[in-house]
Amino acid sequence: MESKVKIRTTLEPMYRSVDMKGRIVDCNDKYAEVLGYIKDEIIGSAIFDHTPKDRAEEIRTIFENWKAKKPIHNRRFWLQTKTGKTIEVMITVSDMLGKDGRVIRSNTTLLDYKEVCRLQDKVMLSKYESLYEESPDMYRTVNVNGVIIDCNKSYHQRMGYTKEEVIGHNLVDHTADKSVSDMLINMARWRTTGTSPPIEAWMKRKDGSEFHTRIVPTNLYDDDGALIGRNVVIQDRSEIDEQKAIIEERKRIAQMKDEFLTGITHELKTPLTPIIGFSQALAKPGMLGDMNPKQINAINTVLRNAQHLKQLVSDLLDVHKLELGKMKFTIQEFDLEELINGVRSSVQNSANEKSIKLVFQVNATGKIVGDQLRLAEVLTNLLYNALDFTPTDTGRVVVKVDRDEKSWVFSVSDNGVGIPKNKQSHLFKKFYQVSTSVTRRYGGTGLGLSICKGLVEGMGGSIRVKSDEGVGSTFTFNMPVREV
Amino acid sequence: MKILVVDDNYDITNMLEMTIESMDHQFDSASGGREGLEKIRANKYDMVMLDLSMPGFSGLEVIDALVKEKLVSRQKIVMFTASYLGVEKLENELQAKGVHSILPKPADIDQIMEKINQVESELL
Repeated sequence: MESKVKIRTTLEPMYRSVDMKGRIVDCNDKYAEVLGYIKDEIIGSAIFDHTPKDRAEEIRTIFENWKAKKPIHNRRFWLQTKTGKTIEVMITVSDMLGKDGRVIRSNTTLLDYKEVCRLQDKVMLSKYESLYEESPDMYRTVNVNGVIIDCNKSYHQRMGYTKEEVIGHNLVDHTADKSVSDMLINMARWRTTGTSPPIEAWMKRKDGSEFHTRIVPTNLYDDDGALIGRNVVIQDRSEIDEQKAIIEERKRIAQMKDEFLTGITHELKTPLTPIIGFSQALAKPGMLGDMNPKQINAINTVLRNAQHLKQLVSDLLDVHKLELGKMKFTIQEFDLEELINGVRSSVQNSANEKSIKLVFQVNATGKIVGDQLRLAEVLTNLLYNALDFTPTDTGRVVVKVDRDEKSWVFSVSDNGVGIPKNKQSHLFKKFYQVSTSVTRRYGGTGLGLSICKGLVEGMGGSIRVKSDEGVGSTFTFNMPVREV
Repeated sequence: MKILVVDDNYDITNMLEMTIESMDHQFDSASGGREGLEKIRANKYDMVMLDLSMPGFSGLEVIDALVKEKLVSRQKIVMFTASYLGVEKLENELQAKGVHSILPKPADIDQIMEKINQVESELL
């Protein structure tokens, strides 16, 4: 199929291979063509035969340097044609090794210096010259054969080369083996159609290490509109890959945590079922026969601790659900009075047992739209806390409910021990307990306030504390007034 | 009532036996899903307390088999399970299949008795 794209092969390299004695053992057609020989005339001739007399010393130096394993990259040099004309070239020499690993001959690439300059001018003329050179992205310019004719600082530095080491090499030399065929297909497609999509490819640094990139090409045309090469931006994807890997890892850990928590809570609940069931059966008068007071005390202690464990498991699940945003709220309209009565009846006995005065100051009436059970849970939790930290007989706990235009305001105040100022900011954190010396009737899990905060915030409100040591504490939260 | 408990945990089954018999109901048990399904097919129970996660043949598989055989509404099925987080998601689906209700483990003995009384009152 005939190419529709006008392309011009520029900078097609000349190749020759030279043995250790300085004899040319092979060359490509371009080399023969430029020098005006037929290939057969070249094979077997000495490199000096193709060098102008006045440059003989230089070719000797280059030849000796090569044998001494000194690198020769894009060194300016001169060739002489059959007709005696001098051609300026850039010479790059690499080794060809024999089976024993010793150098047997050279592979020499020679680029027409004028063509290199012309192409580089083309790039330099671009108004984006400085952007090209200084860009943090890697830029390289290749001709239609994939020979690199220019690159920016970022490119050669990140590839581990000097600029001189880059120019004249085929892009394949800088491509990791696993991406070579993709790259060649992309190049072939580009030469045929004049366009090619950005591709993902692995690049190979001088030290052989590889890295992941995205390559975005832009075409270069000469004055006649013929395709002569392309500028490509090479974006290093390693960092993005790394970030992706970190995100994946975090997801995996979160998933493991989720599975672990749901698994372990299931495993904890199963043995708790007969513990609680049998303890309650024993404690129930008459159900399994009567026990003496010491036995009743013992079984009640077992039961209380089992209930504590049950609470802890359920709190752990709640915290987990709140953290994941998986907590479900059932939003319904309900009566404030119903909520308050429910809360009062669940804590009144505990208040009575400690002879703590429980006062409800409800300065509002009407219907609330929200999750009644969760709201009751927050209030009950705050109340149990207050009862725990309030002295027997002289204790007083006040629940206040107010309503303004925007929200319902609930508060629970006590005249208990209070919370030191420096500890107040930690109160709502998981597993935080102000003091371990406090013997708590309701066995704190250290999760209660963190759950309260999560629930209140999950319902669109906020919670805060005000406390003075020796005076008491007030926990206040508001719930936005909402429509059904 | 004639109540079947399907649970792979012997202690839980034992605790339920004690509770059920103290309420003067008739108790039967199966230690796995497959045995439970066979007993449900062969007998007429008023209530089944079914565990969800059991090795080999789960409570869900029992329900699915009963739905297929149109036996699900022959008795009141209460899922008695510790995997409440999982069941929460399944709740609607289970109820659509004809499960009576879910009782999360660990339940207080009063809650268990209340559930049995509730089922009994619905049968009357």
